Amino acid sequence: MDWSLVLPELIVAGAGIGVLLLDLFLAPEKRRLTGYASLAGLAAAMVASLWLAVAKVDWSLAAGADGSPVAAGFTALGGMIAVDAFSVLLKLLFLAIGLVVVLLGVDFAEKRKLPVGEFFALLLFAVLGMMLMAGSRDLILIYLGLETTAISSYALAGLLKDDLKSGEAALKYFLTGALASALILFGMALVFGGTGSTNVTALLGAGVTTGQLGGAGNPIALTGLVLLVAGFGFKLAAVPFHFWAPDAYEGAPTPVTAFFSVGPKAAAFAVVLRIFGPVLALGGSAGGAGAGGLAGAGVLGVLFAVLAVVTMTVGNLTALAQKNIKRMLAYSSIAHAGYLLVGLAVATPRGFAAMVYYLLAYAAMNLGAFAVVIWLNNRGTGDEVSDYAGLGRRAPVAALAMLVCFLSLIGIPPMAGFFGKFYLFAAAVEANMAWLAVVMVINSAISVGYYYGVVRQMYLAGDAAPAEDHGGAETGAPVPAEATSTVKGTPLVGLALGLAVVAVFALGFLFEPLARLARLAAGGL
Amino acid sequence: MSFLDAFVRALPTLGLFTLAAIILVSGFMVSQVRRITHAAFFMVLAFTGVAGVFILLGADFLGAAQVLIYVGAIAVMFLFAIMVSDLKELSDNPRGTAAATTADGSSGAAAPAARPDGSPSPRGAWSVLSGLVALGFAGFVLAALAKAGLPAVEVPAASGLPTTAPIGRALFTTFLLPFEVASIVLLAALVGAIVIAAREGGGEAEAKAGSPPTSAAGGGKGDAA
Repeated sequence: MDWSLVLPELIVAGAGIGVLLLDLFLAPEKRRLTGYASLAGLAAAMVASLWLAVAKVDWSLAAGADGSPVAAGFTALGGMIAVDAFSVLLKLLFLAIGLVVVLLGVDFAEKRKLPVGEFFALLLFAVLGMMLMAGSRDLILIYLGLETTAISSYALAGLLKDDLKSGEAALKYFLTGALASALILFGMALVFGGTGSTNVTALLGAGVTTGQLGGAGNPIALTGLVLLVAGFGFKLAAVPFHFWAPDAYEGAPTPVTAFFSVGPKAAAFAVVLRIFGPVLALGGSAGGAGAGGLAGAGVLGVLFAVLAVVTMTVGNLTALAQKNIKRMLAYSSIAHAGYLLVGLAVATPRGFAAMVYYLLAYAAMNLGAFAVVIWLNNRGTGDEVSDYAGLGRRAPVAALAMLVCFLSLIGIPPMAGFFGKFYLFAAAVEANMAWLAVVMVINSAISVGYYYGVVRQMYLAGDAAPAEDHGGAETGAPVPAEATSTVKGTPLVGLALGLAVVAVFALGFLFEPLARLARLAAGGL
Repeated sequence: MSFLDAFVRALPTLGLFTLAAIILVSGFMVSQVRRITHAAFFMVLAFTGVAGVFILLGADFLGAAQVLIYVGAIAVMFLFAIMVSDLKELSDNPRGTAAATTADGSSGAAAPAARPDGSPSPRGAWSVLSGLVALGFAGFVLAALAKAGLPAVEVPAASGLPTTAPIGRALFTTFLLPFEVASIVLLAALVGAIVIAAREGGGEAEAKAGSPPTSAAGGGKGDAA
């Protein structure tokens, strides 16, 4: 067994345990060292991932499903670990997300008196679970990765122990997460029953693509897959399964919210791509693009198309009504999950590649937006949208960064969000599903409404409704809400914000090579 | 004689259905009985039934492990947790669930406020609805099974030999990585549980128990969802 193939995971696991041990020996005022240790561990794992990409991944090009070149890759360690471009790319994304969240969390954890060592250790374990989810083709390891992430996440959501909303977030996340786990397990059991293998590649020959529910083909495996759609729907916060997300996002400590909105969600998308991508692509190419592109896709294709439309529409419309910025961003992240689901509904390698690129872009812009929220929160600004009144004058840099991230989330050209949406849009049109692309554009237009609401508060509203009255009281922030313009930036959160904003632009400018990389990665699913 | 033969041949199937009935009924009772201790004991019964299924299928090691771990250790843990948390009876109103019987005076005081709106009827309606959904789904899966059948899978247990050695070999070869990851899952769960439950600096440690002020906060907040 070549254990170097899981070197990044080993490093992250070691760092998590190391942080726990280090925390024991540190005086309380020195506990932020655990944060720096986590940063070091994540950085080392990134280096290991890059080494893996250069030294181990098989980049030799094979012919993909549609004849275009894809990176071959291989599986190892008992067929558990897939060493391919997809897993390396997503591992790097997850490690980067972890890095930014640790940067966001160090000051916050100290200010809010979170149990620092446990906070970072659980975060590292969650990242480890995400890496295993993206890096496996075996349902057993996928499930274990999922549980590692989920269990860590439940605890992370409840870390603000003197805040009732945090307890509520943990409880709701835990209960819905347990339900989702049950659905996923049941689905996996049926898939195993229907295909006789826990390896997802067995689905390809199992006849699930031609099957109808309860009819010909492989109804058992197909039923299992539908249960998996529901279970992962919870994890993605896709719309009929989204109700936990706003409460969990609002109550959790804000850096954890930032993590939830990108990390576990991206990992769930990675798994969904792994499990459903090849099957959907096979169904799409076998049936051909029928009327409206849906006829050939079978039950699963229709399911994902409906999920995509409902998710983005409900997410965007509900976001319009939100007054709390964390809730608003929660609904916005639901809407973005809807955009991402378009890639699955399209079910072409280009659609999957667009999803991979969009995951990168979405992580950067959403983390950027949350970085601003945390930066302001550390300075005593509340989490209500009205607290952001006059921010353009009080904290021009933060306001500008928020503006950049929001423009990217809307999908305005020079930023990554535009290219992500454009890529998804092009994939949908190409697959003869232009109606889905139209729904996407309409939804993007709706989303302008709530993003603009914040921007208007920041730049156009006067200081007449400042944060003082309910900002501090609402969130229990110990820092007085005043004179924010004179406080100089906390270097770590500022650094994270800078990284995110740079990434928002860089991902946009590097669209061409990154899209090619995403294509290589997604083709080898 | 031939009747006896047929009976002997049908015995495993008969046993399977008996065990299935035990598991289903006790699982149903877990969700229905009022006293939480009774629910725990019904869960033990369900675990025992699952162990019986394992043994019936020739998975002797799994059956034994199921008895030792679930019927033994986990059931005892449950009873300890019930004893320590002083939780005796579940109320009809899910909002007042933990409130009714916690020793904590403040949560006891908050409970009546949450109660009056909850008449038992919504819970009954939900029970019926979820029961119907479960039955429908079970019928659906059974129909699918009847139509398609399952692919043949090589089962080491079918040989009738002890399964301990094949399981051990599989755990330390093919499934070594998942085996190790499972330890990380447990570690994360342990750390998470301690960090949530530990009482430090006078913080309320009721996050997982769902104390009534928590749910009251959830109900009071205007939610557009």
